[in-house]
Amino acid sequence: MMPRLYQSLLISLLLVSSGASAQTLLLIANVPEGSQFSEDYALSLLRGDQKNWDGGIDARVALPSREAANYDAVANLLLGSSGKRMQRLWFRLVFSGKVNPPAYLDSDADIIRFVLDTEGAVAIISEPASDMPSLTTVTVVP
Amino acid sequence: MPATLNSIVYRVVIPMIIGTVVAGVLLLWIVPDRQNAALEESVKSELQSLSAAFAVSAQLAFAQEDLRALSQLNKLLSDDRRGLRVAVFLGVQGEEELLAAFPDEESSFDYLNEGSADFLRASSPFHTELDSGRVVVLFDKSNLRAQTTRLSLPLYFALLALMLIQLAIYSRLKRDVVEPIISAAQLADELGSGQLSQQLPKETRKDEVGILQSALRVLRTRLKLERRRNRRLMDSLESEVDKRTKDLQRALTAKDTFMAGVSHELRTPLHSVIASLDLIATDEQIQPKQEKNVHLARRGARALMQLINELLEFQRLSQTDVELQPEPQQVSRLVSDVIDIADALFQQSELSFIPKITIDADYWGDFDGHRVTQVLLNLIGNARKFTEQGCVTLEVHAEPHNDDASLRLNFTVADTGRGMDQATLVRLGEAFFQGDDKLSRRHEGTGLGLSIVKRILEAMGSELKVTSQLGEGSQLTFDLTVPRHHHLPSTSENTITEDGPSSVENARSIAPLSVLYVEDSEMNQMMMAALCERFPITLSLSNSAKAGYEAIQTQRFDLIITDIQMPDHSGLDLLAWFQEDPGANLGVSMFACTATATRQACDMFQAAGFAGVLTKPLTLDELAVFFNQQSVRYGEPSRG
Repeated sequence: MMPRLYQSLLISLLLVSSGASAQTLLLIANVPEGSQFSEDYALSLLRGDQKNWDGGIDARVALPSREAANYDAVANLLLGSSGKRMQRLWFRLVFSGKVNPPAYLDSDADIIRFVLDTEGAVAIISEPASDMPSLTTVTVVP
Repeated sequence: MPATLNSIVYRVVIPMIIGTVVAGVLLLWIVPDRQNAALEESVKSELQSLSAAFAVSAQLAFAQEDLRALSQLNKLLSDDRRGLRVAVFLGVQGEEELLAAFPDEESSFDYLNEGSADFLRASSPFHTELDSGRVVVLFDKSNLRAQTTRLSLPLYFALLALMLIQLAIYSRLKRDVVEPIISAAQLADELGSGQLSQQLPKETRKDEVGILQSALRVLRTRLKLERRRNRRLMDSLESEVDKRTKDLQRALTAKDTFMAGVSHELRTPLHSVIASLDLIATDEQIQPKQEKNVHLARRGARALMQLINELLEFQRLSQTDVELQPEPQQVSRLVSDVIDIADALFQQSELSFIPKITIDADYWGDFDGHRVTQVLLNLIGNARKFTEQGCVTLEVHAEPHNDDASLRLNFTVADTGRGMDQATLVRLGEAFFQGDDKLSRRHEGTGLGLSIVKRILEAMGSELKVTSQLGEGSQLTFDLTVPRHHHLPSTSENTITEDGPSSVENARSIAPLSVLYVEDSEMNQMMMAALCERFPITLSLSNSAKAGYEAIQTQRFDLIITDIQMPDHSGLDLLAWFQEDPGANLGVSMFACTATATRQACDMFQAAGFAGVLTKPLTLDELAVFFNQQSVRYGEPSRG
């Protein structure tokens, strides 16, 4: 099953420069079969504005935990606020049933592994893994 | 008959209504309120548990960054049908910030205000290293009320059903019990009042009402039978009464006829006795010793005559109403005549008679003077009879009445006799009653006088009032109101015998007259002959009407006196023959002489053509007056 998933795996790499640290962030996604990928839609999934992919498959969002290095950077990228505020937003969204609960992971490696393992997963990481291009087709988003 | 509050309907239905109202109050207000309160307590408790559980989930979500529990909570709340609302606040109380809420689509979160009374609420705090807050769980009370209403709905239907059942019971009770009972009561009333033709319900019920109706049917049948039996009995009794009444009437008629006959037959010989005694008493050759005996004999004979007259009068009044002949009367003259007669009664008595009269001479009234005189003389005679010493008083008072259109006459006869006790007063006026036995034995009379007086006064519209005290005398009073006459009518005499008494001495001025006396009784002929010997009368006798008529044709008379009741032809026949012969009756007057000279008979005789009526028995005085009047009329002695 994994090879079939890999066939449709699409990794978007988004290069973002943070105002303060000019840190580079990458958008990665395990786009489910039958769904179209777009950067805006993937970002709306990460902000909790959408719950599913356009093909109807549940999106599985992976977010950096308080322990992750890009905790605030990702929040700043997505919402222009702190990581704490983003966590509260997702608390509200999940509690109200609008989205599926996200997975809070401590490192980019954990996030990449989660995305690779979970169909419909979407996440943002700081740096691509060295072995990631050999295993997946990655699209780097500038 | 409208049902009253005492009706059995209301006595049954009113408690049912009260019970229904109590049940209604319980079911509609008290029970739901209690249920609501109990549910609220239960919900509050559950809310508290939920809020605690939710707080734990929130704490885990914050502390471990695992929001799956929150997702589960959301699913749980979405599946819950009770409309729970949950809010998560961050921060300390007073500076709280709403983090999340379920449902989240609320445009406003006013319900979260602590003051909202529309929700039940429970809250539980949570704490993490980074954040603290609390979870509030709310429950909409309207849902609770709706729940209570849903729970109570069967009770409402039960109440409605109960009311419908009561309505049905009331209707059934009224139709099947009360109305038949009222109808039966009315029927019983009608049966009680004798209406036995009322229809009873034909249908037969087998319940208590049916028993009642059946009893009424039996009662009606028995009443009908009883009525028929009573009717037969009544018919039988009526027939018996009718038969006995007829028998009694026949017996009374026979008695009356017998009494009339006996009285008449007694009067005729008594007439002779009195006339003979009168002749003896006036004989100038009578001895003093004989005179005393003759006086006693005359007194006894006159008493006997009075007795017979009273019997005849009483008998006549028993059979017919009192006949009144109202005529113009001068009241003072009538009373004066009564006093004259009464004076004569008291002349040979130790008693004194005291008249007290206050009457104007111009008081004339229309009334039967003969009857008033009869009443007064009867009362005076009675007073004299029952008074041993003292006096008898006659008081007469007259005064105009009714604007001078009538006169009110008041007559009082008082005596100083022995008086009467209450028992005697009660029986006074009964026929043949004369007070106690000792009294009746001591005093002569029939005991009919007051009875006759009462009947006469009743006919005049008056009544006799008697007051008496034993040992102190009696007072008898009556009033008469009579039409008044303001002009003085001319007097006319209807019967010669009503004139006042005249003495034999005055009769000596009588002119010689030729008189024919037609009489079938030889005794009466002899008496008339003996009496006429005292007057200058040439008397011819005939013993029948036919013989009398023959005498008239062959001889001229100044006067003809004829008996009425005679064999073959009566005095009326003789009058008719006499009137048919113009030559015979020229200047001759014919008088009737009869023992039954009632007012009606006198009127009839005069209407037939008689010049007057003489009443048997004739006394010497009465004949003297009669011949005297006729002498004046003829003026000259007889032509012989």
